[in-house]
Amino acid sequence: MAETQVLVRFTTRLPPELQVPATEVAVPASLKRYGLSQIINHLLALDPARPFDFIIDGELLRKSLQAHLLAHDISPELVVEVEYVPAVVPPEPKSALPQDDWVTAVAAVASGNSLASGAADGVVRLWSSLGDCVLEFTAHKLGVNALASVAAAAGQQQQQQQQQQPSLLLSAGKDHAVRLWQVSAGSSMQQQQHAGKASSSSSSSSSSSHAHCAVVYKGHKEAVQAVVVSPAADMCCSGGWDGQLLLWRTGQHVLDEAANGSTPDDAEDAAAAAGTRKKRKVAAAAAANGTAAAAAAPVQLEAVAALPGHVHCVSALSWTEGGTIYSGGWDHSVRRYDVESRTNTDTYNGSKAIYAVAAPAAADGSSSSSSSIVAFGGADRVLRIWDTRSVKGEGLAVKAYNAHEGWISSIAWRPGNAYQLATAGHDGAVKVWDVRSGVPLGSLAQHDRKVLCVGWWGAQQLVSGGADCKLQLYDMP
Amino acid sequence: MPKRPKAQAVQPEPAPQSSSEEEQDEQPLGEELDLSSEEEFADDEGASEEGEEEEQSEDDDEAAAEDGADEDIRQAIAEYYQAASEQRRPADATGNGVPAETSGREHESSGRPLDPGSDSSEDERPSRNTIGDVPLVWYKDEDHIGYDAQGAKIGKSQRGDKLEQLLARNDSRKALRTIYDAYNDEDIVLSKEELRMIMRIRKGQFPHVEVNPYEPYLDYFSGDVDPTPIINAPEPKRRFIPSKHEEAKIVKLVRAIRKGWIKTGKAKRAQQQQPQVYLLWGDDDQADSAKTGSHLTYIPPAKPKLPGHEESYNPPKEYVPTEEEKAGWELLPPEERPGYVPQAFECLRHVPLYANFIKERFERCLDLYLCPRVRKKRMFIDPKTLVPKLPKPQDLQPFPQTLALRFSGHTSRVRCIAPHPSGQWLASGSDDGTVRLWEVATGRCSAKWTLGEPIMSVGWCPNAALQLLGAAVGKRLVLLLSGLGGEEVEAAARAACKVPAAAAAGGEQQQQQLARWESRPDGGLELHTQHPVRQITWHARGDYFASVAPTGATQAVLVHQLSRHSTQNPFRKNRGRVQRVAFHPLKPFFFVATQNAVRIYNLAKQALAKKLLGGSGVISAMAVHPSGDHVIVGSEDKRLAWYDLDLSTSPYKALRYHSYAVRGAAFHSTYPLFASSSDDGTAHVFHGRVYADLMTNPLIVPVKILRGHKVVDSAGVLDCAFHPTQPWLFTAGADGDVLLFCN
Repeated sequence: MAETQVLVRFTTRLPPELQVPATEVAVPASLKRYGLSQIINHLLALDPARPFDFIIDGELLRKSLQAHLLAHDISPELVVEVEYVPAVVPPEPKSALPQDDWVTAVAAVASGNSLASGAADGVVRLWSSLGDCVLEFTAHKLGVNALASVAAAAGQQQQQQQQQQPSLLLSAGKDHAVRLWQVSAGSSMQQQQHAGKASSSSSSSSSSSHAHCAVVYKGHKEAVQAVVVSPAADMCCSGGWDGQLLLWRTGQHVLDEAANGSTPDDAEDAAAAAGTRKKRKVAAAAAANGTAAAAAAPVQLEAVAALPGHVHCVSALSWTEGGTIYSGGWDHSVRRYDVESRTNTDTYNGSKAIYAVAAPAAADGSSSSSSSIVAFGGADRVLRIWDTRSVKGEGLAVKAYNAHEGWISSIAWRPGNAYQLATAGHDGAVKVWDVRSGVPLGSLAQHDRKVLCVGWWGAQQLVSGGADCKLQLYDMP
Repeated sequence: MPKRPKAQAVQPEPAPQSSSEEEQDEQPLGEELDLSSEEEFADDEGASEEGEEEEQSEDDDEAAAEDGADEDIRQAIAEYYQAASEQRRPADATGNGVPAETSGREHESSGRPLDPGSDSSEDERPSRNTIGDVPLVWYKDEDHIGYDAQGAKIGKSQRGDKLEQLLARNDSRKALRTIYDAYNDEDIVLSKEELRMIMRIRKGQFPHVEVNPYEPYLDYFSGDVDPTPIINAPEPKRRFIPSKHEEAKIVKLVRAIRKGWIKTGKAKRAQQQQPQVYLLWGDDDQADSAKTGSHLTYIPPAKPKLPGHEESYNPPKEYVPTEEEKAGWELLPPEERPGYVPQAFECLRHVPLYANFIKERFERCLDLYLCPRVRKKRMFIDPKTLVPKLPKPQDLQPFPQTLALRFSGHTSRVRCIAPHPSGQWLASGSDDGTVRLWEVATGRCSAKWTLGEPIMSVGWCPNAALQLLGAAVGKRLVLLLSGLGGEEVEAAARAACKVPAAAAAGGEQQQQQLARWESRPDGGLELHTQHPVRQITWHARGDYFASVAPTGATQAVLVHQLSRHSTQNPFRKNRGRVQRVAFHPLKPFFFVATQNAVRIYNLAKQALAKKLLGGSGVISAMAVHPSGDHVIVGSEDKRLAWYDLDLSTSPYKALRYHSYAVRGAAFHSTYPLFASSSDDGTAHVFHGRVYADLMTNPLIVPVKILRGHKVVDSAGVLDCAFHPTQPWLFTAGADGDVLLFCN
């Protein structure tokens, strides 16, 4: 019996040496992506063979061609356009960094090739790419809920690298506070830091690795659950249990203005008002270091604006190119805010509390327009992808994938990729997804308890931390 | 003289007012009665004349011996005795009481005075023979006639032959009055009085002269109304109303007549005139149809198959199976083989005994008597129609459904839980003496206080400016600084918990007895009371809190004020052991649940507003609806009762779904949900929608049974509480875990 044949035309956006002629090819309908990949490899005469993934109408092929066409109601008698992309290699677990307490937040520090992790006991640690703890400081009294790295502005980047300026890190905690930290992790002192790790509770004693609380954002009345920095790195946004979504100014220019404008008296007052002994100790230690920035007491900033809409805890935020903020909260809504007008432009109302929201920062490097796609999850096992471009009144275009066996605690979009994202669940699994497919690209069960946070360290490394007091690194080429 | 039986001989001769019914029927009119009485009187006179004649004839005994009347008398006596012996022999075989007088005179052995005027059998002389009512022929050839009372034989008297008897009769003057009693084998001489009696009987008169048939008539029942009746009860009602029993009987009869089961009038006569015939060889069907006439549901018994040609002793050839067929049957399993295999025989003599006869008869009998012969009427009711129309649980979402988080850490049973009003935190108290503070979103235990004794109850102070957590531990009430607020909150809480030295030391004597306020070293507050505290509950504003000490008798319920550090005892007397208390969420009301009732006090008026009646079990849990108009009460008789305060003091709905005692009950503050937890290890979630419209009753639908806790030492889920904002349920189990069920 003759096998069913389907006419396909292969297209791609890959460089010309990987393009096949745009002719129609009759292939057996029972072929899966492996078979199609063999065809492409044969057509291109690649050696060694490269695996490819295939996209039909914006959906990754995961079944046989026939089953896919049937499921999507595509006529097999027409020519099927099949786009092929290099297949994504599933992530590989790399190394695990043991921690003292639950890891609740991770963030890649924009400059300095280091990774920041926040723990449930309020300690923030900086890790070098070699897996060493280069800096450890108590950022919050109760626990760190979120970390965000403030990238240096484009103009300052060169300057910063030259001058070894400290990078900026935002942290939000359960003690109602959002703080901006100047952290400098001296790479030269790594070994020393590593050797004296046992006695490094006052990390500021080391000469070049130190953290200094530069700005205190006052405004939240309850625990702050999320903080996010704008792509331009001049604004940040935080949301918390008081239901407020507050916009703040941030970045190096704030510090510069404060340094120019503030008098020593003000700084004294601010230091006295700042309160806790720990901070004073940090400040004093920083002052002892003699750096100009460290000498300044924390600047207290008020919110620029509040974004209305949420009636309950704002638990997750995402800021994309083009001035769009996505927020999710315990009031079961995901809201889209326009920063310019500070209005809530779109709302998705679900039935479960939202814990994690993520939107791609920019689609494939083209920073022309804001991303219209947002992924979110929460007190549910379902990862939802909402395409906000849908016309109002037609219902929301929300795709739902059964992602985890427990709550979804964190979602992180892969930097520089418009389709791939990582999710962390209370079932102890970290999964990498392509939004064009309902099947995960990779599932990692390195944690034996709840995974609380997931993040990307660059585009090639995945980081997750959880209730098993472990910071797990993964490689994903 | 006409011969009349003795029963009719008692007929009185004058008979105008005789009790005999026949005569009354025949004399309906008074005039005729009078006339007849005159005639009877005339007869009476005649009779007395005859009596005189007899007396005269008896006076000269010898002269009247040949009188023609004597023949009559003898004949009458003989008849009388014959009749008497026939009638009385069964009783005691006496001839008659009346002649006993004479025989008594003759036989002194009987020795008993006899009343000649009485014909009662008590006065009768006992006969000497004791053989009873047996034919005398049996003793014909014996030399005795029977046995006396002592058992000795009674010998036959030596009576002469017929000639001697004749001579003796002619010789004796009393021969005419002498009769022979064959039973006792003796001659009896009748007295003149007895003769007279016999004559009167023969004439149809009273046997005794002294009998007066005209006794004055005493009217027992008269139509006259007695002014002083013996019974003065009013006529019962049943005399005036138609009898239902009779009515039912009549209805039955009418129905039967209408249906034709009972025939009346012409039809009955026609039926009676029809000859009663039946088909001797008729089919059973007719008999069955006759039965169905009165027995509608009768099922006729299954009929056995009638014999056909194959059962014949010499059936036609085509019925007799061939050898191949028989061989084929042999191969079949036994249940598929034919029950009867026709066989051919030359003549009936060759037919052997039918082997299955007994078995088949037995089976037939079994079938006849085991098979029900009456068709049972069955009601075909769709069970779905019996179930009340309730919405499906799927349509009532959201409600807690799946186990989302497990808060593990306590080493002993968790007795109480309290979610923080913001929904971010959860406090739990356990028997291991610790209070733990959990983060809801991650399940992390972020704080732990060790208080030493089992924690009976925890409760958050609703005042967000203080962030205080109250706990009931032993005889203490502990207010803990949760540390969740900022620095200002911390400072405010410390200030609120700082007991002035004066208040701590001095104060009234009364207050000293109720509770002693002390600051804790960690900044909290501690209240020392007299009795073990079981519950702490806060007023909605966060200044007042109440504590319950069930064993406290008069000090069972204490209300404390945080701002003044004062304690008061609102109830001098508690009716029963207080189990739970609760503040009304909006109004100044206070709910006090004792073991079998819930009392609602109006605090403003200081009066009892309402009392809700409990069930049979001890009340173990209580929760007040956020609107304050509804209360759910769980009790140890497995029951969760919903009280609508506007409706009644008895439960609007009693939900008996648990298999063991209810331990906890909770309302959701925003969603229309409530839940109960029980020692059976489950928590039940209900949808309880309350309508603003007063006419509509609350809609209560059980939606989910949540399992997850293990039952430890017959204690299951000890407490349950809803998340303040999400449709989530926290349950505290005896297994030391707190579970979070989410939608």
